[in-house]
Amino acid sequence: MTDVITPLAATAPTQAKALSAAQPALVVRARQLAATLTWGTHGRRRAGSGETFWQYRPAQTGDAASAVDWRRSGRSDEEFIQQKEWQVAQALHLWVDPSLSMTYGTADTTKRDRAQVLALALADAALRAGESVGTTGLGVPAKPGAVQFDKLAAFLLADGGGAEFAAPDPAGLRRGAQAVLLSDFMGDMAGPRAFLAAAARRAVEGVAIMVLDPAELQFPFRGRSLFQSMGGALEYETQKAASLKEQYQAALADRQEELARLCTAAGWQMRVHVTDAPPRDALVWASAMLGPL
Amino acid sequence: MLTIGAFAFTAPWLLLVAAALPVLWILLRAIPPAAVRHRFPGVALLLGLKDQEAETATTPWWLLLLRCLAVLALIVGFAGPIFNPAKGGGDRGPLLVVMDGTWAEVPDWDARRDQAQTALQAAARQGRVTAFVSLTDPLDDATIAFQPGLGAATRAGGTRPAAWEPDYDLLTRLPQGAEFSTLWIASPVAWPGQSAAMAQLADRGDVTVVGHTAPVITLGQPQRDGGQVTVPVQRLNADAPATVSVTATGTTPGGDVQVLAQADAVFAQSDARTTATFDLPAEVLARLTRFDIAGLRHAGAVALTGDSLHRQEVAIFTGAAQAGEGAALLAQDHYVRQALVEDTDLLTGTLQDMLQANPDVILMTDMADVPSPVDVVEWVLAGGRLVRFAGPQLAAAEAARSDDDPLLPVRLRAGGRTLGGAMSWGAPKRLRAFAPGTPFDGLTPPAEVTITSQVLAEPGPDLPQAVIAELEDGTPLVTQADVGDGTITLFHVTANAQWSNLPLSGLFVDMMDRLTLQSRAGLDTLPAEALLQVQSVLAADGSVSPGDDRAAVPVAAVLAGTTVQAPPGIYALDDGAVGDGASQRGGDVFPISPLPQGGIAPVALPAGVVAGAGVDSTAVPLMPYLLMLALALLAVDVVATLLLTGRVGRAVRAMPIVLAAFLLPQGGQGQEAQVPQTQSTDDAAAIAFSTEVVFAHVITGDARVDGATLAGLRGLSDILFQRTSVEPATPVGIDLARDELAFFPLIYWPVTPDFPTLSDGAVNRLNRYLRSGGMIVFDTRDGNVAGLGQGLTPEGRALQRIARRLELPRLEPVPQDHVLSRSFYLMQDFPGRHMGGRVWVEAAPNTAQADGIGFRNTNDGVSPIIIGGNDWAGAWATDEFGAPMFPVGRGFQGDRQRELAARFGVNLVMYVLTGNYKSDQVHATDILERMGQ
Repeated sequence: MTDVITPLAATAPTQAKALSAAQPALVVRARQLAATLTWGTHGRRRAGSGETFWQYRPAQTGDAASAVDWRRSGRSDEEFIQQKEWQVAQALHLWVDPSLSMTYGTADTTKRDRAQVLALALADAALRAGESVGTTGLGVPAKPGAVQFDKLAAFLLADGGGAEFAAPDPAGLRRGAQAVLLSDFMGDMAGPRAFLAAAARRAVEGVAIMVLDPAELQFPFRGRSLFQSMGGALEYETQKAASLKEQYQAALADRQEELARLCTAAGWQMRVHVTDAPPRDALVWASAMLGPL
Repeated sequence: MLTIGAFAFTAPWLLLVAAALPVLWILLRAIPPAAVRHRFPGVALLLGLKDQEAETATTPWWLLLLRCLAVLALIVGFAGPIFNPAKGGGDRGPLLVVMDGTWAEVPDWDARRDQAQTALQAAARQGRVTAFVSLTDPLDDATIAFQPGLGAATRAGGTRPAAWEPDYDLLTRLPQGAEFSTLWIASPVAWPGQSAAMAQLADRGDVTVVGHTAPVITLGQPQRDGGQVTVPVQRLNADAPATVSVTATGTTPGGDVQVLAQADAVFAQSDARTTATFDLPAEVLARLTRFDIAGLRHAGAVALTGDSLHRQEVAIFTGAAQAGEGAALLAQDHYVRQALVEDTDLLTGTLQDMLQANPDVILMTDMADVPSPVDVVEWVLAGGRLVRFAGPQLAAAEAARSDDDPLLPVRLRAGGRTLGGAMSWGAPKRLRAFAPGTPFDGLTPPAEVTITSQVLAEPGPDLPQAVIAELEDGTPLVTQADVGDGTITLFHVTANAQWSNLPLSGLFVDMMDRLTLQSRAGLDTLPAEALLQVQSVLAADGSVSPGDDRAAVPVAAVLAGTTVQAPPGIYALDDGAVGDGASQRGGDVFPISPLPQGGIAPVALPAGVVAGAGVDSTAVPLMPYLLMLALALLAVDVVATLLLTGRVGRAVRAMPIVLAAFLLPQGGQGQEAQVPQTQSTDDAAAIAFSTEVVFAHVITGDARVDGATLAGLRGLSDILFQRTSVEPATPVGIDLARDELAFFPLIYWPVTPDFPTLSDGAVNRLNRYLRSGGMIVFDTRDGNVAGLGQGLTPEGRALQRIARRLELPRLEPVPQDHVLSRSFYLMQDFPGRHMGGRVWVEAAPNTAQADGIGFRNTNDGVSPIIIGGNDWAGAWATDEFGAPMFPVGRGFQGDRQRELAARFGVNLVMYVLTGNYKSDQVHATDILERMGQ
């Protein structure tokens, strides 16, 4: 696993330092999770760039001498060229909400940790299946290969920047690609709505996973309370917090409903994941929803 | 003041505030608790929501109760509650608090003072005018004024007991005609005038007397009877059987003051008096200075002896030496000596010597002509007591008859008479009973005492007054005359059994005792205007301080009772010889007891005076306790509030910081750098110094020199460790004024110009050290000691100054064959940082006339001192890494010089430790040769 750390430490020492405590554990967990997924490879049944043998064909003018398969050619008078099956990579865009809101966690993990684990596990599985994996927006362009995992890990595990809430950026979405959004969707819904609209225009399908803390579902507060957003920008004071519970839960249900409606409209799937549940369920569900890439 | 049961409040109106507590309860309930802060991302969803009801009254009831209790404690505390408040002194009108202020109140003084103060404070708070009088406190004001405010209470708080008698005349300074209540905190010992003063105050208003029933134990004046000293012990207001321990304190022969003896005095049930008896050798008795009751610290429990236990000094003068060897029983002074030897110190010698010793009594046996009569007369005039005996010589003397002999009390008739002999008519005469008023009053003459011969007094008008003992026919037997301050007494018989058998009888011993003891003049025999010097002063707590700076006091003032000017203590006749015990006759030193002159007696309350309870020492002001309780409750409230609001975590996190702030300064203490150079004289150091070879240097006070010298000795120790079997421990610096020198084989003394003058103790110690085999190396460090004795440098002069006071032998420059030059290395020069300076050691004795100084003999031939100026220590000095600290010479030459300096050090230590062993070795070849034969 240290090979994940080393290039990171070499390129961005300060960042790496800040993350060095959390990153290996997360990455390990993500890879362990990904190992439970069997994501079959899917050949394109035609010659192209790929790993596996497809056919020999006689060399023609214009073929590079280095492309000649001399073992086969030695058995006849013609030169043959070995062709591989074309294996095209599907693109997968991941978005982990980097906002402060995601750093909340009353269980043994924060929402952000859980989202990162899920994202990296998906990324690892997809990369091993030969897909191109990148992020939404212009962070890490989708590319295949093992090295891509390290880049993704470095990007996704990086500090979010301090915004209270965040929205995914539709820029850089490849046409026909798939996307995964991991967020609590507590902020303004205009951002997700715009993203889903852009995704639908580019025929990008995917899943939105609403990662919530148990406390956000149950609202276990009592007495006079002053609620502050994680960055402290928003405040709400109540004399009797317990009486707010039902209103809050209703508001949360509204939010989930709105998100589901948006997803359905864009051809997406939506699921709520609570951090006290095991991450595997969400992962299996997401991989199933993403389907054969 | 409001009194509720056993409680009283100095500011009771403040209790009304407690009625407001229920309001406080409601207020505290109404205030909502502080909002709990939650970080919560879901706040975005909450933003539009509305509260349905306000959260109130969540303060738990027990927290409310806690706060109310805290406030209640504050209110009650500030109301000034007092448990068991002092009583007495009435409720209104002016209040006078009187304290006797004597030593008898010392055991419970604090309680008495507090009671006075409390009573005055309480009265002042009630708006009453108050006054305070301590009767042993000299009062400057002409009148005692009653004043509002706390002035009197403040003065009561500062009052202290005194050892002298209370002055009841002070009470006459109270405003005339005024009515007032009196609280009298009385001494348990009755003083003259006390009862009358109480009665007078009773005429002016209520008088409550408290404290007069406290138990007191006192010591009387010790009485000496032969070798026994009896100290009367008396007690008041106590009935139970008890044993008190009386200690006798005196000076040891070494001059220290310590307890020399201890005896128990046993009180049986309801005994008021008993005695403690000390049976001590005379020389111990003579050194006793005071008796104390163990465990009691007041003046009444102390009896100062003054000189009262000193033995009388009696000089016996027998004139010319007896011709031939007379039998002891015929010696003139035998019986006198036997009579007096028990109880007195006898002096013998020439008359001149004896007069200089200034004895109490001079006894002269039969003697016609007294040598140097003028001196004797002067001695008598100054208070001496001369006792003479008659005999054949006196009977034959012309001078006794012809005119008034100044050294005889009466004029004598020629001859004398003999009774009961073969040639006489009358029978031997017996003694008539002693007349009252004579020194022998009370003695009974035994019938068997008879007088056979005597000298006769010339009849005259003065004769009857002079006679203090006579025969049954009225013939004077002993006559006495006062001359000046002294007396002259004449026995008309011999001091041996020649003329009578009086000296053989027990009566003679008693008469001698009376005559010698009588010479102790009582204070009342002195003229009233004679001045007494205060030698030492007894304080109320029983401590004794010298009375040097006090004015002399006339006898009359002392006799009238102790006062501020004439405190109890020890007085001496102001004759210019005060304090010099040798020349001070016992009769001239008077211990003045702090006890009332009539003895101690319980206080008798006059009619109209109310006896209060005992001193009320239980009045407890509760204010501090209640305030502390309030503070504690509020502290609990703080913690509870933190717990309730969930902020205890932050508080707990801050705790280490707070604790550290408390603990850090304490941790910083006790880390002062130990001064490594000082040698403590405790046992551990002594053991350490004596189990190893330790070199020492004298601390000169110049830090640079001391540091260099210590480093030098360290360097030398290292060299020795490497090269020889001497393995010295770390060297130390010694303070000559304080430290014991005997542990060190070698003391290195760097001479500094400003070395302070040695104290006598230091000089003695140094001399003892030199005599007992120590060695001091003086180093003037100036390289120029060739002119030793000329004082060319400041160091040289300082060395002269030091050496002048030491017992040093004759010195000489180190001779070529001196052991110092071959005790380890062979060397002729002794360089240090300087070269070529001469080194001086004790001169070799001229064997023909080995003198009495004895250094060479006692010290195995090792010179007690070595003097040089080559700054050896500087050459030896190494830092902690073993590198030389100071440059020596230049280049290779310098290295060689440093090596030679090191070799000198080795030689020096070998010389010190092995003595003349090496000079014996010179003969080794001869010895071996002889053994081979």
